[in-house]
Amino acid sequence: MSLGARVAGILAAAALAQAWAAALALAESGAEAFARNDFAAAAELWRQEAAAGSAQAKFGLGLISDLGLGVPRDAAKAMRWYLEAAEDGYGNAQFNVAVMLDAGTGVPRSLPAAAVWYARAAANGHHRAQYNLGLLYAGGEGLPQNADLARYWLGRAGEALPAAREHLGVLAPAKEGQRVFAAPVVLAGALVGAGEARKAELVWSAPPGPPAAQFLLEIVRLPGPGERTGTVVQALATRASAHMVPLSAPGLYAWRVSLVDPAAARYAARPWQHLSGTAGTAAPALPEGRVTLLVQAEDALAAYLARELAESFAEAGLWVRIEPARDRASVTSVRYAFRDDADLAARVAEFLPVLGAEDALLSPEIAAAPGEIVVRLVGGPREPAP
Amino acid sequence: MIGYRSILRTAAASASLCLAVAAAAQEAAQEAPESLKIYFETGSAAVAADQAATLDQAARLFRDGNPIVMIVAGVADTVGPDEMNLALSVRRAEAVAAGLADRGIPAARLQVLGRGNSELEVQTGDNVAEPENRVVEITWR
Repeated sequence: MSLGARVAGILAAAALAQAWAAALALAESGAEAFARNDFAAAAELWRQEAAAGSAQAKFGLGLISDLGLGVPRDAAKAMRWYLEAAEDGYGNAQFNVAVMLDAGTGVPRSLPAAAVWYARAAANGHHRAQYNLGLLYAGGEGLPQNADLARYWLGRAGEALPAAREHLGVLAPAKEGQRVFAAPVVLAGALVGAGEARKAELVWSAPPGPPAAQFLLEIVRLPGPGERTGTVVQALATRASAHMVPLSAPGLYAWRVSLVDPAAARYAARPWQHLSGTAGTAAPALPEGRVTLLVQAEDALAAYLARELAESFAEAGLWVRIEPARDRASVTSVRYAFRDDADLAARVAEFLPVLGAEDALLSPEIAAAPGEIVVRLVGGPREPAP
Repeated sequence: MIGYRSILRTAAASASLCLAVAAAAQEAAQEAPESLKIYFETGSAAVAADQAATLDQAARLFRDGNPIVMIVAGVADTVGPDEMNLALSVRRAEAVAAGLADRGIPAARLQVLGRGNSELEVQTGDNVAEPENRVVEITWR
């Protein structure tokens, strides 16, 4: 082989190798480029991935500006990227946003804002966020002081962090005079992600409540086109002040949080609110209250009446469910589990053919939800109305 | 007093960020305050309960993705032999580093340093009990 041919062959091989390397680079991810310390390539790849919606890529771009990797160090720019990833529900980014707000790095210091992002990261299982949130509640920094919530979050952090377990040992309990029965304050209600990964991140705060009281987190799917009644998709009794709830099923959702003391038959609820993106004039109405109609299978008259009542209650903005009754009751009854629902129950009872407002019974043992009135229908008008 | 002696232990840092962070170190630290101090009883390397809040404060400055390296430097006052004080300063720094690790700070991001009597916060003669010199200083870059 002539020298020229050999050189040509080598050049051809080099060109092939180059093309192969270029193809390989296309397949590489920003994280892989970062791992081999090619920060310029990582930044470029992450920019493409971020444009396609990757929260991890946005977080990576935040790191590059935060650390000054091949670019000038820029805390404000890092904060903007972290914030974008945080708003997508990425826990590590939420934690970094919180730390930067906590320390005043790249943004003005704000403990209340830091608390919200610590809480969202904590709801996503971030242990250091849980720890810091516990500290904020213990000290009343940016949040109402609440030893119960400090204990809860330090307990969660203690699954991974020994220092959290030490804190629990010396945490002073809430003073009796601090305990109040009040509706929690909503700090964040966000619907993030899409499709299978869609989830709600819900955050509230509160001063310490009575020892037996718990929060109740309720999420409802709002009625779709042609429906009059939505459905409860989550009713979660909790001692946490933040939760992440997967919500992959399509539909519009609303939520609320209450402080509930079943033994004292009372609750204090925040109003229902749309989960972000579902507000607006076209959004379905939020429930005014809920009525559950219990009807025995063979009771045709009651079944007929139930359908009529369902229409009327729906007109009044109540959500109605008709369920099979399992008991052998011989008379119609109207019951509710919380004294705060007395007025609503009285109005429901008044509406029934044979009962008056005074017939509604407070019955904590029936385990009805706050705002839920349970009507056991027996029989009905002999002649169905035309 | 013996001249400058220190024990520097750079933990097995993940290679990718080590250089980067060192480069970033030339930039001024953006967090306030500039350092935090943990104080000790005479002869003791145990972090007292009332000093735990300072460890929490330090941990609250540390972001995910290791933007900063924490340098944990122990000092001892001049009471007792120099050799003993060097060892004591190391044990103090290690106790503080362990406290930070218990708060979820990756060990790879902590540099533990014992200064003995070589870089006193407050200059004193030998055998002077000085609380300001029984200290671990946490700085970062």
